[in-house]
Amino acid sequence: MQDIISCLQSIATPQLIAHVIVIMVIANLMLGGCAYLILLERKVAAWTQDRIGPNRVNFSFGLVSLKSKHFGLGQALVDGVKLLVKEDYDPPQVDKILFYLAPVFAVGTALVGWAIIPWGGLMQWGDQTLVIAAADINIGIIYPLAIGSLAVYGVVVGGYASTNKYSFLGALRATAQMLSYEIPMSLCVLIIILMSGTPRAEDIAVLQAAGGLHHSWNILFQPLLAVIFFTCVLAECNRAPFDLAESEQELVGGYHTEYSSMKWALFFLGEYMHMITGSAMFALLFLGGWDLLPFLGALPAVGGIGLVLLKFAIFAGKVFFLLFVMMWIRWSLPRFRFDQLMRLAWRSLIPMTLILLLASGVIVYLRLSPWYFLLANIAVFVGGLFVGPLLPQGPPVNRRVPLAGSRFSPLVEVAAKG
Amino acid sequence: MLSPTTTFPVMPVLAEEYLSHYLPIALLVVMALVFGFGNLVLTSILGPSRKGAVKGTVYESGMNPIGSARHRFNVRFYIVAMTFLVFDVEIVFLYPWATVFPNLSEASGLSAMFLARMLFFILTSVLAFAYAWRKGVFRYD
Repeated sequence: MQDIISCLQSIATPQLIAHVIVIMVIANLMLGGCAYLILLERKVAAWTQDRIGPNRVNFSFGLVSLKSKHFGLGQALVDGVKLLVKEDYDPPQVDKILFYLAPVFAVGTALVGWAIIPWGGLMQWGDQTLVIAAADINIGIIYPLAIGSLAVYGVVVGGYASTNKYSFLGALRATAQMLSYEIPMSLCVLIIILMSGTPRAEDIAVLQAAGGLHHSWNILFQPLLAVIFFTCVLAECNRAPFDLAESEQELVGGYHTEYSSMKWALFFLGEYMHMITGSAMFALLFLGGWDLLPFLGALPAVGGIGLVLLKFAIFAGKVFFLLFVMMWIRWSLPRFRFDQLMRLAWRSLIPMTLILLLASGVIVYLRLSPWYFLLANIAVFVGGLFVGPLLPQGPPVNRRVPLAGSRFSPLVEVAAKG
Repeated sequence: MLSPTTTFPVMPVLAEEYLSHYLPIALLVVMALVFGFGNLVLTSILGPSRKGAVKGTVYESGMNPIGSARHRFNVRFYIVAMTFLVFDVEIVFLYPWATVFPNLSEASGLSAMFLARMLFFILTSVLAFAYAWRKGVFRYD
């Protein structure tokens, strides 16, 4: 007993307690936030389509009568309860074990992936400096990539176990898409590590927040890379315009066609949590993490509890803005076709990031000013515009079937003339 | 051979320290599993359960299902996966390089060698990429 207590005392350092507090706060914020993100998504959709959106459900829940509708904020909670008490139906043809494991995989990877995001920066505690993140591991920003690639399994196992053609096709598409977009995404992260000289998340934020002409937000040095990374985040989260895995016009629901009740909802919780993690990664790598404004170095790297809360508010604000942009994109852009999706990844994003990697390696070797990264980005972008049309083109994919009465049919024209 | 003047980023190397760094992640994993399985159990307890012959069929937009879903599928997906593997393994090897390379001191004189080796390493996978492109791996019609 004495041993256990002394062992616990040696483990329970202030740093570990800080980690546990962050986990408790952020995990609950994310789970609750996901419910409200779905409401926000519906509101943004309504705003895009010039409707009002959900605005009826208030916090009375039929128990008391309230005049105010509270902007429909009760909707999220009611939806959660509804999903929990819906029928949990397992179709008889499914592979039972895998069918149950897939949603746990989907939500589990999403719940674990955000661990290294330094929400509050560094905090002074006595003579120690605490990292206000869920975990401070030395592989740093490689960790969310590793967990992100595990997220493929949730989709592919769910689609395979359903024994449904729609699910299977959706799972295949999702696998090909997530694998393809993982390469440019990890190359982007690689270039940022090369720029910063460290994979540790907190150090990358501190470097960007240092102020001065040579330490600023990476989006100013690498704008093209930022666009590529954001595209990859959208594709990794299976968000529109890359939501081919669940394109409802062709595949009903894609990989979750046969799922119902909370099992179905866990997939969506996972998707929304991946969105939060992806936005937080973007904010960390390109928007300076918790930094207020570029070039100024307005916030010190280490501070008290007040500074930590301020940094968290700034970070959350950036993440919230990026989430809004994702939703805005979803309701504005049409969906890609599968061949266009694969072409975008393999024929443009990967070559561009490879060239950027080579250029960044040379710039780091020559110890040049970071503004040369911007020059390289502009050069790759302009070069891509000129080289792109010269690359060997594939065969035309829009085969026009001569169907009598169709717009493209030559038969009809001949018939009309004769 | 690395000379003593080489400066690497200072990282904790103690095994105990590693463990305590990964402890919060273990906590997160346990939390995620409890949340996931807890929801599965809760929803199967709380919801109603009704079975039926038609309800039990595979969903194919209301038509009678034709054949099984265990079909053969296009070989392209395998090729994409294999090409992905080439790049992913390459990138995994590049991470340690990207961490060490910017921190090499000028005095050590290792920078040029590090860069040249990595350029050669990337060149091999660029060749593989060009070969795959030439073979039409990225052509979808």
